[in-house]
Amino acid sequence: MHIPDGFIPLSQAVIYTIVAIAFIAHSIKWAREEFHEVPLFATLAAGIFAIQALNIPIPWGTSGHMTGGVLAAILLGSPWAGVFLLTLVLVVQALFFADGGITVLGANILNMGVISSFVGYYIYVALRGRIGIASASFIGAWLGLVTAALATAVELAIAGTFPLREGLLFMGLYHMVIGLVAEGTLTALVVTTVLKVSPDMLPVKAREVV
Amino acid sequence: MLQERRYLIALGIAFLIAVLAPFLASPNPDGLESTAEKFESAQDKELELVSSPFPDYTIPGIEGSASEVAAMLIGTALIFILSFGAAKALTKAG
Repeated sequence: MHIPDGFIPLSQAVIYTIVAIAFIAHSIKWAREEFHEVPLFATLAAGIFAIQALNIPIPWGTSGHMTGGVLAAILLGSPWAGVFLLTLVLVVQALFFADGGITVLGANILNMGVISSFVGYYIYVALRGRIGIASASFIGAWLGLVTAALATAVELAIAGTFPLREGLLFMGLYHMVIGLVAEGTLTALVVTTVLKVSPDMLPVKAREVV
Repeated sequence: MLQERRYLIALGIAFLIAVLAPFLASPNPDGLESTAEKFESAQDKELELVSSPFPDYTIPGIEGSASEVAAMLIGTALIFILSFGAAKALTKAG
């Protein structure tokens, strides 16, 4: 759901950029104060960049890929990890690969980095003690992606690029399916695998079950 | 198993996905592009403001799949180095 340049007028894109910068600044503060797992972070970033290129086909001639903010948040024990990691990935994608626009970088960071990571992580935290880590990470990643897609639809409606109702309908529908086949499944798979084979790689906070 | 070895395995998986993605990825438009196709108001709006060195995950001048695989390898290595450097600098500063 990388928004390209031209889909949001500059006057509105500036506002999303300012809001995104506030979140990025706080994620840097988090990294300075509470973050220690440098190799885990860099390895996750490489994997998330790679998996974002793997579009999975869904019905209606469409496709979608995992975005990874919720995975980073769960494994590093903080939604700020998702913000920090997705910021780096989205900047590289926009500058080097023409994937997502430059003027709308703030909006893309806000949607896939901030909204997805926060919604998904806190759903995971709320559910993991009750339904287990696999189901909680699946639902968290799924709803994180869907919420980010709906936020994108609202921004594009304000921009006059999508009509509000149909935009919400199609963005919501496509990403509900993408969230099931890509984001939810892959997040649950990686989280359960890492917790099983390598829990010592994770910060203590990410190993809590309730 | 040593943590270093496990990180190497995980990084190997990341690079494996990067190499395979050009062959396995669906060429269908993504959710946002498919939505945009439905609305008159979204047509001809997309702009190319800057020229990227690797547009659409290809290296200009190289033909075929090799171009996409090379672009993915460069991108994955770049992200790893950049995020390692940024994370290291910040944790050291803290």
